[in-house]
This record gives sequence, C-alpha cells and structure tokens, in this order.
Amino acid sequence: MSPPLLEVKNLKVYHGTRTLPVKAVDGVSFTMKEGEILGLAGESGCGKSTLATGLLKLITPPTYIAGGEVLYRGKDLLKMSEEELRSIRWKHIALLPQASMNALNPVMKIYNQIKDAMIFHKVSPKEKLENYIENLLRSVALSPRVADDYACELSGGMKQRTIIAMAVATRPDLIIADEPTSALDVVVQRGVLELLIDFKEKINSSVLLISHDIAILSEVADRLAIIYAGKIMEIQDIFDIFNEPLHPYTQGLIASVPSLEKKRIPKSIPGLPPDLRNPPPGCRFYPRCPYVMDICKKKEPEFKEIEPGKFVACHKYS
Amino acid sequence: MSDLLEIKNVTKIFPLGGIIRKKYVTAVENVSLKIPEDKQVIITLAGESGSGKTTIANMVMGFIKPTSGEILFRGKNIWKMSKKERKRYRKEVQAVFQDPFESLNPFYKIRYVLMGPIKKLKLANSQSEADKLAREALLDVNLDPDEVLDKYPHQLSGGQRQRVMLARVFLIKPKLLIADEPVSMIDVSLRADILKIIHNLEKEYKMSCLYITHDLSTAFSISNYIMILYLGSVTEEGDFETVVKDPKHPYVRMLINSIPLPNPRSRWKGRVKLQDIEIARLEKISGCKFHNRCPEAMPICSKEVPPLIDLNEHHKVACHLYTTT
Amino acid sequence: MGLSIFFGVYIAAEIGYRFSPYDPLRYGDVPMNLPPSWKHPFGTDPMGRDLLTQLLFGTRLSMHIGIIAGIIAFSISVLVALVAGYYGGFLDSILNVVTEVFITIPSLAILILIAAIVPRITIPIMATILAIFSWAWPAKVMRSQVLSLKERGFVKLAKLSGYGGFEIIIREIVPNMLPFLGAYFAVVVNAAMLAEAGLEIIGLGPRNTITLGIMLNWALVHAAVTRGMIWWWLPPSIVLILIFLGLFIISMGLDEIANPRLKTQG
Repeated sequence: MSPPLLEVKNLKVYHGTRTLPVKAVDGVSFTMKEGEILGLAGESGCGKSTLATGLLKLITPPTYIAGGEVLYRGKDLLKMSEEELRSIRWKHIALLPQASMNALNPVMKIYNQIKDAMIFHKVSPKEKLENYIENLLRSVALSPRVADDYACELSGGMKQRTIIAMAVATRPDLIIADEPTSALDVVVQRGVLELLIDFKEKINSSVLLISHDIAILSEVADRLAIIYAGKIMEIQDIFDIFNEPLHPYTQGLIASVPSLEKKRIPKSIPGLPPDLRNPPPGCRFYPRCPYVMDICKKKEPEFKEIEPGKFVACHKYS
Repeated sequence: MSDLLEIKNVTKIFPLGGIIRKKYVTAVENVSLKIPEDKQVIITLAGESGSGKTTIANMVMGFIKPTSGEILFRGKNIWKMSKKERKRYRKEVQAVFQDPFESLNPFYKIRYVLMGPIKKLKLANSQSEADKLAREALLDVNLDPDEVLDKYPHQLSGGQRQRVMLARVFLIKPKLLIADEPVSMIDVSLRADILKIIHNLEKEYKMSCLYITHDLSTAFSISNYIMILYLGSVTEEGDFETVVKDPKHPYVRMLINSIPLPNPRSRWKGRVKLQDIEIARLEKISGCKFHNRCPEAMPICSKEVPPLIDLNEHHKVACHLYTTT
Repeated sequence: MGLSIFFGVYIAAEIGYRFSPYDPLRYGDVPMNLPPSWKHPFGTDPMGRDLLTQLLFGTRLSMHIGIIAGIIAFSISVLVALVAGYYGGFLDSILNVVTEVFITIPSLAILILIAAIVPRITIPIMATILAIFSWAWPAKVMRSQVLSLKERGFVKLAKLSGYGGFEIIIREIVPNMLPFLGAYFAVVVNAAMLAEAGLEIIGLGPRNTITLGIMLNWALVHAAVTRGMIWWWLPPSIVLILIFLGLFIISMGLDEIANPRLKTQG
C-alpha cells in the first residue's frame, strides 16, 4: 500500500522568546489522503497558522521546529534540504497563507506576477504562457482581462482568487489554505470555498482548510480536526463530529456557534485559552472543562484512535 | 409620542479628493428607520462591505452630518440641538465599537474610561458615588473591579476590553445602544458572553439596540428585526425570521443562501456564480444598485430606483419584481 | 539601547558645559595668540581671551539659543498641527496654506537677509528669527499624526462621553503623540542650531557675545585655518558636530519608540 499523501507525526513548532519558548504547535499528528478536504478548526492562539507554515518549514527565527516529522508520500519534508523543499513547495504542496491577498504586489501587473512565480518555482508549461495564464484565471472564474490589471485595482475577492489561481497553477496534490476567506463578503466567500471543492473533485487535490469559522468548515470539509492550545483534541468525519462530538472542547465550540436555522443565544466556554509558554500540567483544556476529573490535572491524555476514524485526546475515553 | 430615534430619508455623499474632477461616493442613500420609544427592540442593520452601515452608525452618533435627511432624537434634529440637549443626547445614546483595542486609549487605566462619562455626563454627585457606580457596572459585566480598574488596556484580553466597553454602557444606562460589530473581533467561543449582556440590556435595562453587522447568524440570535443594506440603499427589511426563511429581494436571497450553516446536513446546493464586476463602487449606478449583478434584472431596473414597499406588516422590500403598477 | 547611552552622554556633556563657564575670565587680560598650554588648554585668541572659556561659554550660549528657538518653533508647530488637524475644515485649509508658504520660502536666504538688515542682533531676535523658519515642516508632519489619531476609536468614545474638542485634544490626542513630540522637538532644536551656526559663521550673529558659531567666525576672520591654529577652530567644530549628532540620535531613538513596527522588524 502506498504511503498516505501527508502524514504528520508529533510535530512541534515553537517560538523562541527571551524567557520560555512559546509552544505554539506541541505534538500534532494527523494524516491526509488524496482527494479530501480536512478542516482544522481553532481559535486565536491555538497554533493553527504556525502549523500551516511549519508543515512546509516556511518559518523564520525565532520560530523553529522543535521535533516531529512531516511525511509527504513517505518522505520527511523537515529533513530535506532547502533545494529539495523548494521543488515540492508550490508544485506539489501549495500554501495560501493568511491575508494572502496582501501578498500581491500592488503595482505590478497580474500577468507578470504569475509569470514571476512560475519562473521562481521552475514551472514551465507546455503551452504558450499567455494561454496558460488565461486558463488559469478562468479556472477561478476570473476574466482573462484581469491579467492586465494591477493588483491594487482588484477587489478583495478577486485578489484572493488570483492567489488561489497561482497556488493551483501547478495542480498541487495538497493545498494548505489558512483562513482563505476572512475579510471576504459572504457570497464571495462561498465562491472561493466552492473553488476549493472544485479542485478536490476535478483534480483530486486535497485541501487542509484552516479556519476559526466552524460554519464554513461544516459546509466544505470531509473531516474535521480541532486544535486547542497547540494540540489536536479531536479528529472525526464531519457528520460524525456534529452528531456526536467527543471532546468537551469540541462540544463547547459547536454550542457557541450561532445558526440561522435555529434562534437561540449560543453558549460560551468559560475561561480563556492558556499561555503557551507555560501551559497547565495534564490536559490543556482542564481549567475550562465541565467534565474535569482528577487525572485531567495531572496526566496529559493520549491522542488516540478510539474507533476507526475517530481520534480524540481526552481521559473520558481512555 | 415621537419615536426615540428616527433616521429620516438620510443620504450621505462623500467627496473624494481630486481638484480638477471631483468624484463623489454615495455611501448612504435614502435610508429611513424608526426606533420606538415605548418598547425595546434590537434591530439589526446588516450589510456587507460598502453597504453604508457604518456610515449610518456614525451619523446616528453625531460624528458625521447627513448630506440630506434628518436624524431625529425624540423628534428633534440632532444637528439643531442646543448644547444642553446635546448633552442629554449623549446620555441617552451610546455605542460599542468593533475593535476593543482601538476604543481604549492605551495611555490611561480602565478607571479613566469609566470615570470620564461619569464626570462629563454628571452621573454621580461625589467621588464615592462615582466609585460605587463604576464598580457596579463592572460587576454587571462579570468583571472583577479590583482586578480590572487599575489595569491598562493592553493588560486585558479582547473579550475583557469589550466587556469594559459594555460596563461603560451599563454605567450610563442609555435608552439606545449602537453596537457596531461588537463581537466580530472576539473568539467565537467567547462571543456568547457579550451577546448575553446585550440581550440583558434589552430585557432588564429596557434598552434598545441598533446592532450593526455583516454576520447575520450572530445577529439572529438576539435580534428580531433586520434591515439589509446594499451599497447604501435598503433592499429588504422586516421580521428577522421571515426574511431569513423567505427572502424576497434577489440580493438578499443570494446572501441568505450563501451564509454558511454550522450543520453538515444543510450544505449549499449548487454553485454560486462569481463575476468580475465585484462592485465598481465609484461609478454611479443608475436605477437599482443591484441590477448589474441581479439574475432577475428587468429593463426597468437600470432606469428607476425601486421604492420600498410593504409586502405585509412585517416585511418590506425594494425591488421592481414586487412593485405592481 | 545604545541610543539611550548616547543620550546620557549628551546630557552629561551639557551639564559639564553648564558648570564650567562660571569662570569669569572673559575679556582681554592675557597675552594673545598663544598655542595651547597648561594655563590655557586651548590657547588664546588675538584679543586676549582664553579659548577654553570661550568654548565653554559659547557652547552654552549656542545651546541656549538653539533650545529657546526650538521651544518657540515647537510651540507654534504643535499648536498649528493640533488645531488644523483636529478641527479641520476652513481653519485647516488656511493653516495649511500658511504652513506651505513657510516651508517653501528658502528660509536660509531670508534669514540671511533679515540678519543683514537688522542693525543689532540680540539673542532674543536671533532666537525668534530661527524659530520662524523652523516651525513649518514639523507642523505639517505633526498635523498628519493628529489627523490619524483623530480617527481612533478612543477619540470617538470620548466624544460620546461628552468631552468637548479642546479636552479631547489634550486628553486623548496629545498623550499618544508624546514620543513623536519628543523626536520632533529634537529635530526642531537641531534645525535651529544648524541655522544659528550657519548665520554666525558668516558673521550675521549677535556681535557682542560669544557662541560656537561666532567662535568659528572669528577664527575664519583671523585666518586661523591657514595659519594652522587648529586649536582655535577645531574644538568648536567638534562640539557643534557632537551636538548635532546627539540631537539626531535622540530623535531617532524617540522615533523608534513611537514606531514600534520598526523595532520588531526581524
């Protein structure tokens, strides 16, 4: 059996400070197969953005990889040379970082920016470059005329779609999208998310969709992973997780999301996320957990698969 | 009895730079809204970017003057008020803003934020009374006065800061609260606290609220009436549940259908069609502002602005599809 | 930060200078044109004055003039910036025009003209002249600061709490400008001193006293450079440079505090 598309094993990414390091990602493990959308849900300070950049080793000091493996089709990305990594980035794994619409040079024509990116990553299509770029823009529902525009002339949604176009230009196996739709209008948001679904369905790409918005994840994801304080608390199939959320944090999160389907005031989770320089001993969630037991304060729960496809890190299930 | 607040046919046009060719942006066009005196309501003013909702908020707060139309507080135009009446207005209408960090001057402790209005609006007669008021207000929002009063804004979390803003409102006890995206910058799992406080303000303190947001799901949890703006004009308004279940205006329909629901069983059906013409805001659009994106546009839509008509008692829409001649 | 260190050194130098010249060896009691020696560490000038004393006295005076001019200019700048920025509208337009005019006038040329015309330059006049031309540009920059601060949330909140315009300016806007103000004060003083030294070197300063610039002027007049009397013209030049450098670094340091983004770069 061939190795999975992506296998992350106990990844640790820390930020160095003058005192203690901030353990932004502290032992994260998950697997992704081809043609699936894995949603990663977490709130501010949970480490999801650090994870996104850490997976491709696109981190800068004082952030550093403190351990773990990121296996892309069996090969550890973290152990590769920069040269090797660069050939994988963008061509096989594309990253859409947060606020990526700001990554476009405002005074350069779109055509040239795409061209530059392709040159940098050594992508040379077989067809004429102009046609290639035209088709690229069409694939994200942008008119080819956009190639002649400057980035500052485009709206937020159009910029985001351009970035997506650039990211999928090489038909990567995996797209890591970090909050790709924040700051976009609702209808544009839907359009962008549907683009990601299209990529999954048409070219069998996988998407790691990172967001704080449970609602959009429930619209497009096949499976959902919940990250809290640098650790993954639960991973389940999307229907299962809404049906029967296992981890108390997941339950709290779902209960705190309002919905147009039912009129009710959502429930907050009391307390605040922990300081990642000095996380509490035992389970990171215990100060806020309604089901806390003695063992939760002392021993960290193991992240394990309690049933096929259902992963959770909670003493309730051990 | 006149209404507490009436936004009457308000239009706001902003001039944009340019010495040679002056350009104008119509941020708000002919918007009317009434907030009654005798009962409490939470009215949602919803819209996406460019809808003009924040401009309306600024006008109600008296920061910007309407180009035409009036903002009437208990029947009196706020721009024609005497100094004394203005002070009274400040006592009765308050606001909470989107960014809890921005709203607090980093220089001063939290105590200052609360003492300011007490002093200026003469809410207490002595220092001890003032202290008492401030402490009570903080307790009302579940903050510990001893912990919070002497701290600086950067020492508190976003949720705590937002609650300080609400404590300030508790202090002043206005009749109307303008809440401009009060929870959009707060973590999802902590938003309910703020929403509950606003809900309580309505129930216990008899305060009405104008809730301004782009996030309908959150507004739906506490509000019963919604007005949806598009590029400065009212598209549809009415009872929240009615509008959500049965949107009439094509823009509103598209909007409601595209709002993500946190339920994998209720997923979007089909695909939305994105176009390039994502709003050329500076160009003057004749007739209905939505006509160039509307799947059901008719010839009249590009020529005449559709009037806001009553579909029934709790539902109004501004669309030529429903104007019978 | 190394900048604070220099700041410290600058203050020490200033205090040192202030203390020493209470030394009333001022005019004409010693032999002339002596090169440096123990009794007169920097030598003497052709009119029988100890050069070290001159240096100390002159530095002090130069700095005084610079600071006074700076204060005047700064006050005008701040006032204009606050009023124009906050109240906007018509007032803003007028003040803007006035500011622009003052910026674009070739100040040094006019300064020279005025200095040449006015028969007796006294210190107050000198300070005023300098001030007139140093206020404009900082005012413009500060105004934009005020403009951006005006839009901040806490200003809106203050308005809602019933504060009036004047109170808002003092309570909300000014505190947030303090680092900028400090930096700009340093800049303004620097500009004033530069102009002062410039004027004096070419002989248009106050005639009856000694400042650094005037020392240099005397030195030039007596051809100290060509005569190799390095002990005459070098010390004042070095002091001037130190002062400019000190002020410059202060303004950079304060600017960094005001713009923490620059600090967190990398």
